[in-house]
Amino acid sequence: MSGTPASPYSGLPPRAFWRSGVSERAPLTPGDLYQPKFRVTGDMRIATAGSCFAQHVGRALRGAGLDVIDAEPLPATVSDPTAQKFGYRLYSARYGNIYTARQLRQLFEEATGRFEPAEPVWSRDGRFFDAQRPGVEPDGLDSADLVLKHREGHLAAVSKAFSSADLFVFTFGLTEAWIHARTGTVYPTAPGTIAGQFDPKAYSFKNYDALEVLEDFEKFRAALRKINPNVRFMITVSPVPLTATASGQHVEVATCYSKSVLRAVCGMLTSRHDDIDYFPSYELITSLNSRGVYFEPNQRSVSQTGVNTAMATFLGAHGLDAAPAAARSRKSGPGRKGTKPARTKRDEEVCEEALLDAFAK
Amino acid sequence: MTRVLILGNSHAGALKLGWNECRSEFSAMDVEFFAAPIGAFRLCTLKSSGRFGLIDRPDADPRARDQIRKLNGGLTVNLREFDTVVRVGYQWKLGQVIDLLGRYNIDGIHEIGAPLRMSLAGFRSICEDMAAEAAPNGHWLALNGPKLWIVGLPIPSETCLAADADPRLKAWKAAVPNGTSVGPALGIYIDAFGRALADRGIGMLPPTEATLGPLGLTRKKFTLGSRRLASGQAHPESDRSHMNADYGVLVMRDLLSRIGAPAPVQ
Repeated sequence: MSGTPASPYSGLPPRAFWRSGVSERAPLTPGDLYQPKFRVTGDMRIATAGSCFAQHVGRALRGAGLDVIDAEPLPATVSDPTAQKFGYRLYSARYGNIYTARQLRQLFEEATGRFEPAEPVWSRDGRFFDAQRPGVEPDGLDSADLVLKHREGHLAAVSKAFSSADLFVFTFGLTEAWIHARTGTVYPTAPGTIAGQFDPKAYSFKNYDALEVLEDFEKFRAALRKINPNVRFMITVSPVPLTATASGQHVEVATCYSKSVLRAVCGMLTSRHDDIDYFPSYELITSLNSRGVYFEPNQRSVSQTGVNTAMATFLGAHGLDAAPAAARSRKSGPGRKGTKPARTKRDEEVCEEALLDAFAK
Repeated sequence: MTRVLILGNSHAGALKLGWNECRSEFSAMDVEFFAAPIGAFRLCTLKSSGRFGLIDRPDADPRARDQIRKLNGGLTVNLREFDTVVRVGYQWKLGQVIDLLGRYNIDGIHEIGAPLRMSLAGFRSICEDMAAEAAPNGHWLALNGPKLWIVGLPIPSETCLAADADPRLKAWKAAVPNGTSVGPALGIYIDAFGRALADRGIGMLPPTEATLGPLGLTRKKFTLGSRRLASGQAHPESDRSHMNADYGVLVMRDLLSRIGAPAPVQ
């Protein structure tokens, strides 16, 4: 019959084929990997969260002049290193890195009064730390009560930030986590890494599978949409490999499992929901086309070139300029004052997970 | 005789009035003033030669030029002719601290029922950062001769808490909502600013203790009857920032006794 293609593949664009889409693509050319499902616009209020790599995402969005929410703002004259030492200016509230979907779900449930974490306070050398974000007070606080007071204010800020967002950007980082054995409360770091003490009877290792990750994000999405019905989601997978695994596998095998699970869940979420888009930062950074130059010599940290390439691809796809003049007013959330202009130097991420390196023999 | 130059904007007015009343107490001090209202003062620059004033500004508003000349007898002053130069009404960015204190409780020193809370360690680090940013730079760090001192903008009057206060001061109302003193928290910032200045070889006069009330704000009585620098007329009653001669006396005594005091042994 005339007009019927010989094959369903005939007539597909070059991006659909490995040869034209990858092999013949000039090295270090990001290619047409991303076609947005919906447009990110300058008037959207954006909340960001996720694993270490998400810090780069938030920074790039702020640098592009987008309205990234900062519910715990500081004056603009405070330097980024000082702010970030105390967990400010990393994300839309001072929650530190959120490595797993369970942690995200748990945080929001706690912020909306539906969850109470077990063992909320950890100690070290007579100082007290928020077990859900032990890195934000490097020297800890004077008492457990004070930690809880801090947390109360923080949770209000989380609720405010999430419920006022038009776009929620989340970077999935890990499937491995440490949980409270009896209750399932998940922690961002292994007890004993920054604070607390590892007790194998109290804490256990957990490696979430795809169905669990999917369910956690679905529950989070549903809960957030209940109070913020118009919110949309931009999800990504961190290209940063695991620093260490407690799974018993080789760390490279464990990384592949973790990233595969997260990537698969992103695919499922994106196909299920019109309000969720996936940005392929994982694919951009790990692409064979990049010849590994998007990683630092430790083959784990993403290089500034890699970050720039990924974020330029994202912004370009949305018709946004990576570094507009300070022309666009700096906006930052409930306290809209307080953001700093995009920085030109290599920005270090704050990554508690990297502390695990200190435990390597 | 120690030659002292008081250099500043409209806030130098109170110190001038104060000096007129207390000069007899400081016979070893020869104090001169070079001041201009803020608009004109901002047009003034410091050159590497040590000369300060309206220099190379043919485009300057003639009114500003007249104000500077009328108040100072000329358009410039050579700072190197003095042993000590005091910058008065310096913008030491207390506003950003107050903005923070309106949003956050600070552990142990500032409890106002704010929704957010900051640790004392975090607040101290942040103050160090903000203070370093607020310190003078450029030619002010290379005066080659005179010792530089800084007197910051006065802390606003207690009357800034009034319902009809200038909206520009509303951050102060937010930071002092329930009779809690901002003194301890501001003190941390001011100490940090003093250290930032000391690192640069600059002296700082902290707010004179006797001028402050229980809330850490300038006592109401020191704003009553304050005078404009240029015209000598009274500031409007709603002015919460400009201080009077009584304030000037206390600050000048405090300042000159510190300037005249022997340097601490290192």
